[in-house]
Amino acid sequence: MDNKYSDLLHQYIDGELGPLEKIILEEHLLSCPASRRELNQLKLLDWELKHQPAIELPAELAACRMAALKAHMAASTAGEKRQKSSVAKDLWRMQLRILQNSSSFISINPVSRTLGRTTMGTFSLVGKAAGTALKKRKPLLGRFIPGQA
Amino acid sequence: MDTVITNLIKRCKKNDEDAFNQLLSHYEGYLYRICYSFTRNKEEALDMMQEVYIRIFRGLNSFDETRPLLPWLKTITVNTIINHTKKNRLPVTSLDGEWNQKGSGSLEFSPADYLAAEDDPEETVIVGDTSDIVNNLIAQLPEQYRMALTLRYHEEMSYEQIAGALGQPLGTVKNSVFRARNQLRKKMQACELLEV
Repeated sequence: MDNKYSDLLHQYIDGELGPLEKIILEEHLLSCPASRRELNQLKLLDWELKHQPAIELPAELAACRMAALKAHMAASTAGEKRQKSSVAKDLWRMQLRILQNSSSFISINPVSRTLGRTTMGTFSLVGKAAGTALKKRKPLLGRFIPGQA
Repeated sequence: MDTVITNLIKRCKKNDEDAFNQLLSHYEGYLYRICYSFTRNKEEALDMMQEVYIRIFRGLNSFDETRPLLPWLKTITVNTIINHTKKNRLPVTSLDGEWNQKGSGSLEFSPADYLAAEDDPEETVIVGDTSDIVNNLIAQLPEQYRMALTLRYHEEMSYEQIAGALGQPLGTVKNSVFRARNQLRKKMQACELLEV
């Protein structure tokens, strides 16, 4: 059948045919037995599709819901733990930044370079003295700890 | 929206298990029927429902409880069906092919089973009633046609609403429904179920 009329039949089934299209279709049906047959079949099919029996709910549906809920709750709990761990790390990073920022004034101190050199020099002297003392530890220990001479 | 439902949604946002169960048990029958009317297979419909449940549980956290809940649930269900069929795309069974193809949703009987045996005109050989046949035939439709037909007949959606739900042009949706009807009509005609 001509597609134009076939589409009109479907639109008629859907109740979406305009007045002019309805007249055109009716005129066509008067002279086309094949179209009349197709229209009747479509009406029967439409009725069948609208009167399908009620779908029974399976007993497994509630169990399906419980399983999905369990999985969701487990995922939620894991997500919350990751969030807490992340919060602790963020706090630590923030504190580190505060400490770094509060000691940053040292770098802008006009005597910081001198101070730094002096400090490093002092540390160096202290380090050397400690090394010497360790090499001579036995006599030192003997002086302070009885029996270690 | 119903105050009881609104309160249940609020409790769900606090991960109240009992609230989840109460809320979903109210709507799950409706949502299951949408899934089943598309799949025409209980196991596949339950598989889809598993995914539907999870998406709802996740999505409730950001759902605005002042909005109506059912349209949102329907959208999730339809989108789940679309994604599920894309992921598990089954070979398209053409209704123009052999009747006795094996496969998901396949028809394991022939039209001849529905006709009276030639050697015994009084014997009526009918395997299953008409609704069972229609059920099987719908399951064999190409996914696109089946989806449009399901939303049209089971959800009673307008063509515009179906186009919106599927993200397709209006003409494509109408074409899908028309072709689905034509395919069903021809096969039912072969079964002599549409004799007038």
